[in-house]
Amino acid sequence: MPDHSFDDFVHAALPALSRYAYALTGERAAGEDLIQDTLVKVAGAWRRVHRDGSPLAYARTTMLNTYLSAWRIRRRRPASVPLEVDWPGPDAYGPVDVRDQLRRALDALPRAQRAVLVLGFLDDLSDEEIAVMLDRRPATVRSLRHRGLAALRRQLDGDQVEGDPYARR
Amino acid sequence: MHDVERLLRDELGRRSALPAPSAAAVVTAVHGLRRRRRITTAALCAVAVLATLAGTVSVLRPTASAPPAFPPPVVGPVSLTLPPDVRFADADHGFALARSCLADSCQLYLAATTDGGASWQRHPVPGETFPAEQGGQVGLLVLSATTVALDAFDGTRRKFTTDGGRTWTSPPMEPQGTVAEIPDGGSGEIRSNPGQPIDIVVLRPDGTSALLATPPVTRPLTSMATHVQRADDGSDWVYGGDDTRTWLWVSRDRGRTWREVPLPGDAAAPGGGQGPHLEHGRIVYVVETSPKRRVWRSFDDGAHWADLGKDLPPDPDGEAGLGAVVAFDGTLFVYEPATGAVYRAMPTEQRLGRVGDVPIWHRAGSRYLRGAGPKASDGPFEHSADGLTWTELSL
Repeated sequence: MPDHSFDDFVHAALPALSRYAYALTGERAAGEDLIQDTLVKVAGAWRRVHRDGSPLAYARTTMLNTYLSAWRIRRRRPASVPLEVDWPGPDAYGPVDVRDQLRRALDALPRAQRAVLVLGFLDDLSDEEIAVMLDRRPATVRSLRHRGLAALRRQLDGDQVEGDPYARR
Repeated sequence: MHDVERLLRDELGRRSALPAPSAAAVVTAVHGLRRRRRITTAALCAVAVLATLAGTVSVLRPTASAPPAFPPPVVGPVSLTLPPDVRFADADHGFALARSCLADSCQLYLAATTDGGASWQRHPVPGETFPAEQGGQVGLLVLSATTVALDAFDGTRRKFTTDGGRTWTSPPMEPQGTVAEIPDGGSGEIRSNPGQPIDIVVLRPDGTSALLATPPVTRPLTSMATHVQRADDGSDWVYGGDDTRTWLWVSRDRGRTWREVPLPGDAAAPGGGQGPHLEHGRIVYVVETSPKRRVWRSFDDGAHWADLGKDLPPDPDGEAGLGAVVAFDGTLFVYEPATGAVYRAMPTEQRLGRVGDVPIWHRAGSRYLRGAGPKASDGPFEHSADGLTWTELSL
C-alpha cells in the first residue's frame, strides 16, 4: 500500500514553509524554488524524519541550510533596483520609499544575517533557538543580528540624509 | 531616524503573507525531481559504499573502544550556557560561560579549569544578570591561561579578569593610541569602517585597547570575521570582502606587516562562501560546495593550492553542504551534516578519504569539543585533547 504520509505532510506544512521561504527570499519565484528544493531533501529522509516525529522542524532547518548554502545560485538572479523618485511635491510616498529602501537593504544583506533577522523578527525566536537551527553559537547569532540591523539602519538613515530629495525640504 | 526593527517586522510580515503555492503542484514537482536525482545518485552510491567500508573499519575501531576518561562530576545549580561557549587556552586551562537562574533572572558565571576539564571552579561575573529567556549578552574571549575578556555583543561594555575570574574590572572598550603589534596574550578585533579601510583594535593583556598601527591596507570592505584569527603557529589572519571580491591577509610578525593570500577556485569571488580554515597556520584549507565540491589545501600561504576533494561524492546543486574541522596536527576532517559521513586528509595525503560516520567535533581553542547527544549541537558536551579520549563537560 503506498505511503501517502509525505504528501499529507506537504499539504499540511506548505503554509508554514511558504511563510519562511518568502520571508527569506523576498520573491515569490525564488521562494517556491526554495520550498521545492527543501521538500526534495525532506522526502529523501522521510522515513527517519517521520519516525522521529518532528518533520516540520526538520523541514524548517533543511530550508535554512538550503537557503544558506545556495547563495551562489541566488546571486545569478536579477537584483532589486531602486525605486525612481523623480517627481516634485509633498512626500506622500515616503512610506513607499522607506519600504523600498528597506527591501533593497534586506536583499543586500549576507544570507546568514538575513536568516537570523527573519528567524528573530518573523517568529520571535530566541538567540539560542536560532543558534540551534543554524548550527552556530549564540554569540555568532547575536553578532549577525547586530551587524544586520546596523547595516539596515545605516542604509535607511543614510538614504534619508543623502539620497532622499525630500529630506532636505 | 527610522524605527528599523518595526519596519523590518512589517516587511517580513508582508513577505511571509504571500499565498502558498498549490500543494498538489508542489507534490508532483518534488516526486518528479526525486526520480531524476535518484538515477544519478544510484551509480555514485555503489562507488561510495566500497570506499566507505574500507575507511570505516580502520577509523572507527580506536574511537569506539575509547572509554570516557572521567565520570561526570556532580552538577550544581550553576549550569553551562547552551549552546556552550567554551575555550581552552591550552590543554589544561580552559573557560566556559555558565549561568545560575532563580525564577526568571539569571546570573552569569565564568567556569574555569586548570586540570584539563576534570574539575571546574565557578565565579560569578559582577553586574552580568539577564532574563532567563534572553541568554547572556556577552561573548567569551580567552587571552591566556588566566586572562579572559567578556565583551557585550552591542559593543558597550567589557568585563576583564587576569586571575581566572576571581576578580573583575571594566576597562573602556574605546582604543587609546596605537600599538605596533598584537602581543602574545592579546587579541585583535576587526572594525569595518563604511567607505574606508578596516581598523584593527588590539586588546592588550592588561585589558587596555589601542589601534594597530599597521592594519592590512584594504579597500572599504565588510569584515567576515569579528576578530583577527591567531593560528596555532602564531600567525594572524584577516578575512573580508566587498561586492567585488573576497580577500585574505596573513601577518607572520604579529601584525606589523601583512601579505595578501591568493584564494583558490571561487573563494575569491564576492560572498566567499565558507571562510577559510586557518587554525593550523602553516596549512590553510578552503572548502567549496558550489558549483562544485572542492577542498583546497595550501602549505605556502596561498602560492599553490591542491584540490583534495576529487573523491567526494558530487553534489551538483551544492545543497547538502560540507562542514570542516582542522585537527591540531593539520589533518582536515570534512563532513556532510545531512548524512554524517566524514572524510579525512592527513597533511601527507593528497586526497580526502571516507573514514566512516564518527561524531565530529569542533575546536574550542586547545581542545576539541563535541555534543554527545543525538545531534552535534545537543548535550551532554564532551572535550578532548586528542580526539580519542573524551571527558564530559560538567560543572
